[in-house]
Amino acid sequence: MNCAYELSGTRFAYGAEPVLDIDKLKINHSGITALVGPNGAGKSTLLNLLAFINPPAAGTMRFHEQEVSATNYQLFRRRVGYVQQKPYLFHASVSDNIELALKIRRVPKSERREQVRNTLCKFGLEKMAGRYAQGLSGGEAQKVALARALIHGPEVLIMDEPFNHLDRAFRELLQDLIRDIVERDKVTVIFTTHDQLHARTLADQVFSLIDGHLIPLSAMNLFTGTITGDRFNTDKLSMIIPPGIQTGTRLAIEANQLVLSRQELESSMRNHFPGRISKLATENLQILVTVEAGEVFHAVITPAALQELGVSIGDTIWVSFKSTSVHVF
Amino acid sequence: MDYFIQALSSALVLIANFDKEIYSIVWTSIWISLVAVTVASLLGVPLGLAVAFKDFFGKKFLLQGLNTLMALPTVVVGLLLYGFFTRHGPLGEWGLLYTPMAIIIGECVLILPIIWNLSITAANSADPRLSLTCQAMGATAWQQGIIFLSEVRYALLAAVVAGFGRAIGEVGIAMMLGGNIHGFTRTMTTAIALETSKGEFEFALALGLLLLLVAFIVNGFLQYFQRLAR
Repeated sequence: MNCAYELSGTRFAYGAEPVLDIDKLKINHSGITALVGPNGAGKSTLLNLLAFINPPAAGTMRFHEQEVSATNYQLFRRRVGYVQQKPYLFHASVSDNIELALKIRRVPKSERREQVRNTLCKFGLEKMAGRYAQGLSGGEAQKVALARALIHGPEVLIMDEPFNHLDRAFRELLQDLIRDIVERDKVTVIFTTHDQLHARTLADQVFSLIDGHLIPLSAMNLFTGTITGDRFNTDKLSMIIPPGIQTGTRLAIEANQLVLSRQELESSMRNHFPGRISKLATENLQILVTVEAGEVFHAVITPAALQELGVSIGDTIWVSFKSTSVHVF
Repeated sequence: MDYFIQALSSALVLIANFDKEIYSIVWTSIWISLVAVTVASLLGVPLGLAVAFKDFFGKKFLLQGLNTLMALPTVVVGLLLYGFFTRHGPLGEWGLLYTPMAIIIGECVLILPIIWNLSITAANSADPRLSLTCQAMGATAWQQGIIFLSEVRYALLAAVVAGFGRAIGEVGIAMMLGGNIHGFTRTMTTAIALETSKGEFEFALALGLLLLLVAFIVNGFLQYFQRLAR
């Protein structure tokens, strides 16, 4: 698959404070990529780099196989649509807000009108075209910002926490819209979220950001501890890791690498922990199973698998995984 | 009380009959203040934006100075400029004293700190997301500037209107630098002072009412722009 972005040795700092330190990052073209992490992990900073708003302090960056440099930054920026977490709408009507994206690109007036009309229809905004943007609700504003970001046909759509504070109906609408523009228009979509399960179920690629460092998997199962021999010890659990790993204070396991069973499995997997199911949640036709087994594990399974297991909240269950499926950093 | 009511009704008759003398004075006041506010805005708004966006040594001191100058007494401005414009003063040769130009310069000096300071406030009141939004949309630096001005336009207009309100209502500068010359530098405020001292209370009251009306309209615009800016 072609790469939309390739970052190598990318560093960024606010003053003397380093906030981003990425050795390698490849984001696939025409796919959905989620960046997951807690507040202050560097998600928005990384988005600003990917939207060509801030240049990195060090490292190289390629966009659709073209080298990005200080001289062509502005040109690359125009190939991206960016929707902020709380989008800012200008003191103008909804249609003027959307049209401004075309005005900036010096699109002729006659073309602008046509495109704005089409975009308003596409996003179901026709009825509020003349409304003053400052009076819109959060969801409506998000819609307008999305329409404004997409009207010029960007190759990449970047969204910062787009699903925050959205009601269920609009959340689903937005998900459908994202899938639609990826499939039909071959747009690369990158979004940040706190919600690991949501990221995992919606995105093709999930990266987690922890303290400015990127790990190429979701951090649904992230533990802090120390290494002793071939074991990673947290305060509550001791997990077997591949031999040879000597440094690292964090261990992550992808949610789909966890195997759930009612009895202890006899297999090549070296980690087996009994626990109790504390939560079951559904997201995008997948089930998130939360198991308290000393540490809290999150596994993602299909509804059919859950039915086959025949378990419910409070039941005892075994969590197993291979030592090679862990990522220590 | 009868005296006041009689004077008030005479004043209203003068206004209703479009007394040429009265309206000529009103017009002099308005055009002088308009020119002053235009010049002060052309200087004050860019200066305000520059100070808002740039950090430099002495910025805090400048802001404190501008705040102080917002309450600048008009007679002090009149007095200082009189010293410059009088025949023996450094600019005496220019023959500005007792001309509308002298009043315009004086009013400019008076309202420049107001417009400058309120422009800084206007620029600082812009939403912090505005700049990032403009950049993310791919706007050039020039386009970003235009969009920024457009976004804070009501707050800037409020600054300009506040300056106009101060200029049209001041009396010290118009009296000391304009000389209250009939048909030339006589403004509403100087005429009110003169006519009252002459015992022409109805005439002064008519001008007072019109000045009040102008102030009311200006204040209406100010509140309108401030409301829109929010």
